[in-house]
This record gives sequence, structure tokens and C-alpha cells, in this order.
Amino acid sequence: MARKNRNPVGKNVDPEAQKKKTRTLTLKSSDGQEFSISESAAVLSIAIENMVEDDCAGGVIPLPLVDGGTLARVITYLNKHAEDGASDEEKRKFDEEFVSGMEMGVLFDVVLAANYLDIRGLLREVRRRIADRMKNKSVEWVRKTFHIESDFTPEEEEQMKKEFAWAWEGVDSDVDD
Amino acid sequence: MGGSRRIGAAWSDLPQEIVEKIANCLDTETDVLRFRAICSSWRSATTPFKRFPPTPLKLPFPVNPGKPLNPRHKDAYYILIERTVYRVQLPEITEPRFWLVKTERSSDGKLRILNPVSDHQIKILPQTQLPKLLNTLDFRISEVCKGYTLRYMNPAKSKKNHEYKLGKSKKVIVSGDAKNDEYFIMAILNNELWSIKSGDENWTMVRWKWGYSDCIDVASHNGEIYGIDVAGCSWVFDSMFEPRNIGRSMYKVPVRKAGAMIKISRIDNQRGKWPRWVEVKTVGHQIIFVGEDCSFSVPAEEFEGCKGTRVFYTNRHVCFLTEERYRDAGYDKTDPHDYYFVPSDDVKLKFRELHGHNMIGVRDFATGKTGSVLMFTEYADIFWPPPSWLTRT
Repeated sequence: MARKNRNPVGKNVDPEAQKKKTRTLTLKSSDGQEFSISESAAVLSIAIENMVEDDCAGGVIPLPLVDGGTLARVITYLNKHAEDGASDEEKRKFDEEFVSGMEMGVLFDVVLAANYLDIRGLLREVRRRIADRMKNKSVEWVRKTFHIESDFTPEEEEQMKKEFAWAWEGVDSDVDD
Repeated sequence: MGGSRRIGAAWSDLPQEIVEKIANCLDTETDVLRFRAICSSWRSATTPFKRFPPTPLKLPFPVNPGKPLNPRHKDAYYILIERTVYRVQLPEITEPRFWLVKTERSSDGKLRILNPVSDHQIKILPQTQLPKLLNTLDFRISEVCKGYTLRYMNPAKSKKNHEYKLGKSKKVIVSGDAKNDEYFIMAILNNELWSIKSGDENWTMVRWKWGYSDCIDVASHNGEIYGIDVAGCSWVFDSMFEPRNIGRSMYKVPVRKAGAMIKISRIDNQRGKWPRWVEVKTVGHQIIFVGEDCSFSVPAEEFEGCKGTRVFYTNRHVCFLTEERYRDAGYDKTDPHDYYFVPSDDVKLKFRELHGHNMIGVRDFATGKTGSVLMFTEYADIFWPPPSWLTRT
């Protein structure tokens, strides 16, 4: 048996928790695709949990800001993290693989979905991995990879040039003045 | 699929709170600086990197206020100086060539270039091929390693603002918590281990429980502080700074004695287990740099034509002699000695600015060869001179 389940829903091992495992919800994506998911997995999303609690769900929960492809991915994540007997180590490995192959565009959709659905663990993981992709790279490379155009004013450009300049002690840096 | 649809859009329109939290995952000043230079929305969502403790930081002198002090030290103080080893590359991600440069930031924000292993300051000559101002926006910069050192300052002395090196200060470790404005500094001063934290007026001596108290090295790793004493015993400090013996290390001591015998060990500190030293049989192909204030490694395949493990090391007891100096020192030339070598005139000229090169030893694990860095000129290139492509732009 795995170690103690650290999920917020796992804390209360009571009949209610058991019920959540067997109860299923239907999540509906922005493009009308429907996905079934156990309630115990779905409520790892704080946003969904709130909707369930408010009972505004009525069986089908519409998620107008998440498209089907992204929702399918997110559900894979939720199912793994709600899985009985999945150890922390297993989940960590899953998280690692879950994000590593993602294209930039997919990563973008997933971070937005995790933010909107308030899935703390996923959000933390994705943010960290986005940051990892720009560590130790050049500004030029990051802009290219993230498809971002520089939109700085000439004053800001000038300010940044100063931040990025390495001046040597004992050498007159008269080149710019 | 959701993914492809958005390519070319929106990374710069990411909600500010997400942008801010992504930036929080970056832990070096270089990475944060770069993040804030990508686009204006990312810049405005984040705050500049806060170096903590702010360096150069003024610290009390002397460490032991109990002892009588010579009046000429009356206004003296220490300053804490930060050192960073950077890896500078051309922006293309496929470009393998790099320059490994160790720098120290002076109080006016200018950088001094140091020999990455021996820490001797390199004086830039007028003919040195180095841009007067290096615009690092044009390069791919990463921080390889950070270290600290203490200097002695005395406004009463004739040389104004001169930072005096400390003969007996070996290692300084610093942990800073920028969020809470707290720092903790541990330093080996006069072979004793002292500590000071934010808010303290004086240094406190860290007492070793038994055995030798003379400390030759301290290091912090994953929030734990390790120390090695002159007997080669390793210690780990608990949260109350009580040292706990974790066995002998075969690591520092032989380097100190001979320079010819180096064993690579690491501390195996698994949660819930007593930390201990384990010999590392294979480290992959790594170039390992063992300096006084910081040590680091770089995968060997990143050096052109380099396979196998090599260690660059230094300490004040190692000195490699050139032929003339070897003779002057009264050694017999027929005596086979690793510390004796004959650099060619070309080599001498090329590395004339690399001060302290005679204190860098190299151990090649593939061939068993040990000697001065100038006997391995292909690796001395890593340090100096600066590569010509720095002036490309």
C-alpha cells in the first residue's frame, strides 16, 4: 500500500469521501465535448469543488474557458492525482513526464486552464516548468520560443542596456559617453 | 487541438499573477534580469531581483571583541563581497563555445575578473581583446556558481577604500532570505568558525563539540551546513549549530598535502539517515573546478575535444614552478616532479594576464597526468584570454 494520501480530499476518510469516488460528474469544454470524471478527481480543482458545493452543477459542469484538448489533458492529471494507492513518488514522476513533452502552445493552454480551474499542484508544476524553459538562455532565444516581440520604449531599452552592461574595474568605460 | 491554435499569440498577455509567479521560480539574478527584458508586460508584472544580503555588506571587525585590539584597527570593518562564475555564450542555443568567467562586484558596481580557480585578480591590459562594456543582452549568460569572500577595510589607513585581502579567511558561506530580510553568514577566520546573522552586533564562535576544532572548509548544500576540520573529519551542523561527526573525508586533505592524490567523494544525505561520505566511482565525464570559495563542475562534452574527468584545483600549498624558478628553488632537474614544467614562450605570452596560473593544478583522470594548468593549454583556454567572439557585436 502506498503512503498516506496527501490530497486535500483524502484527508477525511469517511463515507462522504467514498461517495465522491463513485459519483461521477460531467465536464463540458468550450467546444462542447463532454468528459466523465469521478467527483473525487474533479474536486482537486478548487473551482469545480466550489461549483459542486454550490450545487449549481446539475450534473454537467460547463467550462467555457477550456477547450476539449486541454480539458482532456487536465483530466488525465486529475485522475492520476486522485488515484488510490499512487505514491508521492509515482505522482512526481507522472508530473515530470506530463509536462516535459508539451509544446509551448499546449503549455500555455494548460497554465491558463490550471489557473482558471484553480488546480494548485498543476499550476505550480507548470509555472516551474515554464520558468525552466527560459533559464540560462538568451533574451533572443526566449523571445523566439515564446513568440514575443519586444515592445519596449527607447527609454526602457536604454535602461535595460545599463542593467545588462558589464563594466570592468580599472578600464575606462568611455565608449558610450 | 487547443495547442497549435494559440502559437504566435498570447504569452505576453498572460495574466499578471501567473507571470509574477513564473518569475518567482527563477532563482538567479541573471535569469530574473533576462525575464524582465522580454516584453513590457512581463517587466511590469515583476520586481527587480533583490540581492540579499546586499553586497558589499559591512560587517563588524574583529570577529572576537573579547581580545584586546590594536588601536590602528579602531575604525576598521569587514566587507562581504559576492563572486559569481558566469558562463557566457553566443545567443544561438546550438553554439557550444563558451567563456567561463569569475567576477567580483566592487562597491561601485564594476566587475573585477578573477582567475576562476585561484581567485587572483586579472588585470585587463590595453591590448586585451575585451569590450570595455560588455552588453550581456547580446549573449546567453548563465550563473554557474556563487561564492563570497571577506575583505578588511580601514578608513584610517592611507590607501583610501582599499580592500585588503585576509590571509587567514578561507571560506565564507552565506544564506539569505530576501523575503524576510534575513541573512546568515558563516566564515572561517583565523582557522576558527564564526557566524553572524542579520541584526547581530558581533560574530559568534561556532564551537565544535570534540576533537580538532580547526576548521578548513565549510559548505552549504540544500540548506545543510557541512564542515571539515584539519583532521579530515566531516561534520554536519544541525539547526542549533551543533556539529555532528559524519566521518572522514578523503577529499580535501590529500589535495592539501600532495595535489597528486584526489579522490572524489560526495556526501550522501538521505532523509532520515545519518549523512556519510561515499566515494564517487564515476562522475560521468565532468570537468570539476575546486576553488577556495566555490566549486562547480561542467560536463566534459561541452569542452571541445575533451573526454573523461578532470579536476582543476587550487590551494595555497600548491605551487607549480617554471623551469627557472624550479632551478632557483634548488631542485634537481632529473627529479621527476609534477610541479615542474617548461612552458613555451607562446604559452607564457598567451597567459601572461592569467595571474595565479601557477596555483592551478589539473588532474586528468583518464591519463593519470597531474600538473600545472599551463601543461594543459587546451583547458587554460577556458579561462583566458577572453574569446574573440565577445567583440563580434
